[in-house]
Amino acid sequence: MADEARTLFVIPAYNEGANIGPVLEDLLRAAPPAQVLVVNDGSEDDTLEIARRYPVHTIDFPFNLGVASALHMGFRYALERGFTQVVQFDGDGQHIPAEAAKVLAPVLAGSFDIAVGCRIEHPEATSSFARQFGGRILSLLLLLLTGRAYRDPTSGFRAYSLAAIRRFARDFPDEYPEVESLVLARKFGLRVTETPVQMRPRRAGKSSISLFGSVYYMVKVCLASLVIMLRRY
Amino acid sequence: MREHLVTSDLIMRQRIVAVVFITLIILVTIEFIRRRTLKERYAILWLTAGVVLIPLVLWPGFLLWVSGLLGIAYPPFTILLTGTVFVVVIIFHYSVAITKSRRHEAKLAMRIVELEQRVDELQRKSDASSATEPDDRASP
Repeated sequence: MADEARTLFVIPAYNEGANIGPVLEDLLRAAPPAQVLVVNDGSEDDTLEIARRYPVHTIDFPFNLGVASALHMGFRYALERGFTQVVQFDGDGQHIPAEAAKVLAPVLAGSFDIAVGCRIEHPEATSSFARQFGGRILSLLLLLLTGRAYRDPTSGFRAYSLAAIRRFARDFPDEYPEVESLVLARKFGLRVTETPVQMRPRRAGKSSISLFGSVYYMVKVCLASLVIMLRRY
Repeated sequence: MREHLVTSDLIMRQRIVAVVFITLIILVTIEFIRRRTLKERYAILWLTAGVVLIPLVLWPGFLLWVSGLLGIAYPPFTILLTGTVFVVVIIFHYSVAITKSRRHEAKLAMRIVELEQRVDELQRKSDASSATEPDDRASP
């Protein structure tokens, strides 16, 4: 229990004004209430104002830096404030607070440094062909570089141990961090596991990735992951 | 005539030079990403240029086909044109990136000024309260 009090939920939030209120209410309803950090990633809407109505930590980026930088900031913040676990949590309502315990369990037990919450229902079942194809390529890339098959490598519902927080506070991808951070974890010798969890569909707004964006996403993630293998850390 | 242009010995040498040059660009780009001197975001166009140019240089049939498609009579010009198009796109990409960077710079400067003013205000307040403190203690 004592360790749970030192867990920080990090929520990267970009234009989540429609979602962030209910998400925070959900998180704070738990007993004991979660410690939450909302990183407002240069939103143009009222995300920050809404977040500040709740008893949560907030960080306000002067402009949009992306999820990766928001998380990177979260790790640094957690380390400085003496948190020993971080839970990466979406601000759009996809993630269910009650499921956080499942993702946290392997990390709290000390058996893993990163636990990735993967959707119980097949993540590919409802997505388009292009998305499935992209997912296959990323899984193959991870299989090649980390030697293991991930079921949901792009999931952003994750728990991190102190070792992972320390390492990622220093080195973290600068864009599209999900897949790349798994390659980094392998490089850093962090122990990773996947935990099945329930997830909801997005509440409001739409995914920010366009066609051009998704081609860039794939190329960037593949290139960056390959270069990580060439780097010495 | 066109076959001759892409297969003669002189052209062969040009091709070797071109392949060496392109390979060098690709390798240098990757090395710079590795050293973190170059972000992936700004390297992708260079790498794409290399990946597109290499088959044009190495595969005469492909070069002839593309040249025919574009109505270019002198095939080596196709290579030059492709390279030029990439250079133009890369420069435009940088213009956009610089604009964004300049906007961020301005926002950062404003944020710093706001923080400085808040620090100044707090400093003045604390100076004022510490100046009145001895008086508070003196009067019972």
